[in-house]
Amino acid sequence: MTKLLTLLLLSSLTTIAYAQFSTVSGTIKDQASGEQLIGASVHWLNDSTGTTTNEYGFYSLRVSSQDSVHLQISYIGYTTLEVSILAGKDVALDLHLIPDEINLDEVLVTSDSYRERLRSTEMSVEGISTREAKILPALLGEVDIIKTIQLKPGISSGSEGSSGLYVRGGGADQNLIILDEAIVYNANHLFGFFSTFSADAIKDVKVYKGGFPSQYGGRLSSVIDVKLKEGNNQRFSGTGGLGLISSRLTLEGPITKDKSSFIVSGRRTYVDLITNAVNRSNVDKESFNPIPAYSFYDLNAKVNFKLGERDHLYLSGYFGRDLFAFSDDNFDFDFNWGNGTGTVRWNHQFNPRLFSNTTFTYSQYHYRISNRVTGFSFNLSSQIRDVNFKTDLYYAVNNNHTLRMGLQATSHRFDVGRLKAGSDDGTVSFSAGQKFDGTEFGLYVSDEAVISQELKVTSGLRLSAFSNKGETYFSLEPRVAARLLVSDRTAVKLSYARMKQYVHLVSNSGLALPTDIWYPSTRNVKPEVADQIAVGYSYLLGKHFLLTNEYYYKFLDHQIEFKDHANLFANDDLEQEFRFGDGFAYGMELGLEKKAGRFTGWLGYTLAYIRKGGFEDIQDGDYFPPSHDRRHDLSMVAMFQLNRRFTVTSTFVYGSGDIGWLPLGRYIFQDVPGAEFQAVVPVYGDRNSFRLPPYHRMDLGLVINFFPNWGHQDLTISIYNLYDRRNPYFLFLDADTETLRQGNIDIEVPTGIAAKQVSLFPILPSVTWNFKF
Amino acid sequence: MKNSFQYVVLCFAAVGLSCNLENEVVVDLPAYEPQVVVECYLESNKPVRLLLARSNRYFDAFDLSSLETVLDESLEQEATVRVKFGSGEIDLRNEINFDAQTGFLGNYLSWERVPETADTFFLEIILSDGSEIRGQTVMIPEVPFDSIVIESEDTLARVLMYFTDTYDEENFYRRHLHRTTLDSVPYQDFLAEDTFSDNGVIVFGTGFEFEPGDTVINTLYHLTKAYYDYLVSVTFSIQANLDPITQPGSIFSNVSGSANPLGIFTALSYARDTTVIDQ
Repeated sequence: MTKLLTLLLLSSLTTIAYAQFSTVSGTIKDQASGEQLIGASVHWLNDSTGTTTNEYGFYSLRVSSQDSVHLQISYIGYTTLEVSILAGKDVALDLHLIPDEINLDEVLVTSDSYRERLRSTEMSVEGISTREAKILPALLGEVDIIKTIQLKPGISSGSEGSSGLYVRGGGADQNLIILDEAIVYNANHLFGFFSTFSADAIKDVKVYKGGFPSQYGGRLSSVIDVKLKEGNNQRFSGTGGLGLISSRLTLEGPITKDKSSFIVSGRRTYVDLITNAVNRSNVDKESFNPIPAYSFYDLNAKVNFKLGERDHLYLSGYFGRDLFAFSDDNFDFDFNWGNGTGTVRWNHQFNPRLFSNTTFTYSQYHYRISNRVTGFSFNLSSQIRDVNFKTDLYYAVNNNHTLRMGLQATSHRFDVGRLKAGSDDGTVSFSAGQKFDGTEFGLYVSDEAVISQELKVTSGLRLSAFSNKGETYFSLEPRVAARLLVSDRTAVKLSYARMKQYVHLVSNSGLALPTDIWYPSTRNVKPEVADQIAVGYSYLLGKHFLLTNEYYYKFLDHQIEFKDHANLFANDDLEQEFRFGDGFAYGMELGLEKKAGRFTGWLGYTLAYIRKGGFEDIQDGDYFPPSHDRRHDLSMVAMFQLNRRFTVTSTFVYGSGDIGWLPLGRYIFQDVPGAEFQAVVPVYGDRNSFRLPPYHRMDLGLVINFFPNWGHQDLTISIYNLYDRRNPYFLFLDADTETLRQGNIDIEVPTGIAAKQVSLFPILPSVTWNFKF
Repeated sequence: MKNSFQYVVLCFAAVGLSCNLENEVVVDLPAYEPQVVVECYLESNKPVRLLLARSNRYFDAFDLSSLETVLDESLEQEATVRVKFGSGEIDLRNEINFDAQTGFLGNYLSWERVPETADTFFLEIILSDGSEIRGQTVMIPEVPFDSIVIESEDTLARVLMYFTDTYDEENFYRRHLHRTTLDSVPYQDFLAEDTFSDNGVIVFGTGFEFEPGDTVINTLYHLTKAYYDYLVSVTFSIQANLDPITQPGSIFSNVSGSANPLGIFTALSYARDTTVIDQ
């Protein structure tokens, strides 16, 4: 329910000379935790104008100095707040919203939140709620933000179970994934089956599919902006869970109440604890083959300090690893990979209308394979390391113009395919590897302009540059987005964005392999380019539903493919394996969502088409579908709160079958004497010319809530693949052979050829115990 | 490195098979026009044997009533086949032939032997329909072993094969290791190139898996780039049909012509050693 609150004087009033207009500014926070709220609506009821908090919870609104000013502050999931102030002077107004326990009658909140989306020029954006992600059914019970993102229109996964993201025809490497403003290069565990993000530590996730704001650059197809929580600055609290394959714990609390807080969040798998115990108990058995040990873990930590009324300092970091090890009498094998990020961020408010954010970040992704046998060793590694500085200014000129400007500089270091192997005595020595140092720059300015009540335009320009070994590339990247309010329920939107990508992922398997390496633009490898136009409309259906429909067209240039049988492994001449071409992608996305009431959820449908071509040595330059070309993609998500104790959730996904590249012919290859056998050699036709059967799957979840005195706990039961559909993971053609003999001649001939489909996951139930105190 | 991924994939496959996650399905492949396939290995002082056959559509089944029927369906007969070198040439006659020593089945055979002094060879084939096939290869020197070292640990032994990569240009190798006899599944069979060697000394070895009295046969093939590329493409094409990690691709043949052929025309150069592990 709406609360009416009248405030005559607030703390932190600032005295400034009286004028016709004054500025109300401050931050909007969660009252229970002190977390800043991103995108909260601040509406000046007298004038029907308003603004929203930026990604740091800051807002600034010009109001008339002469009257009592009535403001309405709303944010989905929170009780709407109304305040009245006398604004003869600039007012610093920090407000706290009360989290709303799910109230079945809270319709007004939803309408206002949806209206804010209608008013915004932002389009092609998806917001991900961690609350929803936690209750949806999950593979093996592992809550995965990335897999929730894959349920949104325009975003598809690659193969089954993969955490890869393919957005509007773009490849998995064309997504800018940032965690508290630091880039995460490989946000996957276990070859893409799980992502690195811990839902317990995340505050906000926003996915841009198009209409990219000017402050973002460096990737072609999407920006996934993940923000960690600051930590509860009101009281000490914790949350965690015990699942089938991993457990997690998050602790947060005030260092000094209202002024500083911390959050620490960790997750670890434990199957290796079991396998190690089995290995130890069988160490004396000669015939026993040790079981390889595999584990992964994530650790997030953050502290923040309010240094004064105008300054706030944040320090955060992430560290995660996958570890695979195998040891027996013959060798000692170790394979590990993972990410590390660090962020130091300073917010400063110069005056009620000017706010800055300055950030230093560090990002690193590396993998390392090592093996030792008696007298010999082998080490292979690759790494990308970034040190980044950026600063952003927000200037609320007036209620009709908000300027943003900023600059960014990143120092990249690439260690590509570093190999060191040989004998301990140095007799035999192998080495390989390349090292690059690249510098990337970005400078941008944008203006969000309210032209009229109906028309709002955000226009911007980003200048980007990349320099590597004397080769420098410059680019101007225009960004435009416009919104036309046709009625108070309908908005039409249009956007154009040019994006450049200077860092490229070297991978041709279609799977997220930890050995995929990042490679810079060079004299031969030009930056990739994408120009995307999108047009769409949003329609508020009744009080509960928001319908969005968008159409996009994307031009792609300087796209990278790899020649047939490319050698991407420890290759000092890697660029020889690249081929360059162009492409295009277009499609239609339809979304319908409901965010309030007992029954919530969304439906997303995408119809998409992608082609790439013009590559030398690949199909004579003909155009072909890339492996992630999926014609139809449907996702349905439903969450039904039966009562305070039980919530039922379900997801249904349907997609056109994955693209496959099957052999069309075969021949017998005898080979030289002593070869294994006479092989049946497949002869492949055109690339990606075969489509596997459609993929569809339904998952079901049940959340059973308990309310002990110390907090809250629940059992979350998930059934992945409810009706046990054997979805195709890959297809192969299997030839049975028979040896035919005549005299002293014998050859093997194929006797029967069958197409066989391998599926990955049958029906998989799981249960997770979660708690919160 | 790739084997570790394949190990993980195989683990999932094992789980999958145990849950009946592999099923036969019906697929409708696009049309495929069979191609002529050439396979020929020249060896010094040996007759030229060549197999000229046709590829098949993948789902085509053979009539298995007799080997003769299968050969009739598969072989490309009545072609004119010639190998040229320097100032000489060798004509091959159309005759089914089987080398019992190597197990190679061919349908073209020469009376003459490959001269030891020639190093560049040209293949010319004119099929019965008038289309042609051409190929070219060189006889490159064999690379001798520096040493075969047997090292023991407890009751088991390992085999280390050392050789020196002495040439300035890039070199390509194939390693075979057989236990007891060549007519068995190789213990090791892999391809390698000399790109990473810092000092030219290269070693291929095994784990401690052999016992005293075992016979080990080391073979080191010195390959031309064309032969190496062909073997890589064949290996990856076979592998790509079996796992989702390996990318398919075309066959890198070194034969060309209006017949649109596939296959390999090459000269074998190899060193071989047979060692019995001491008791």
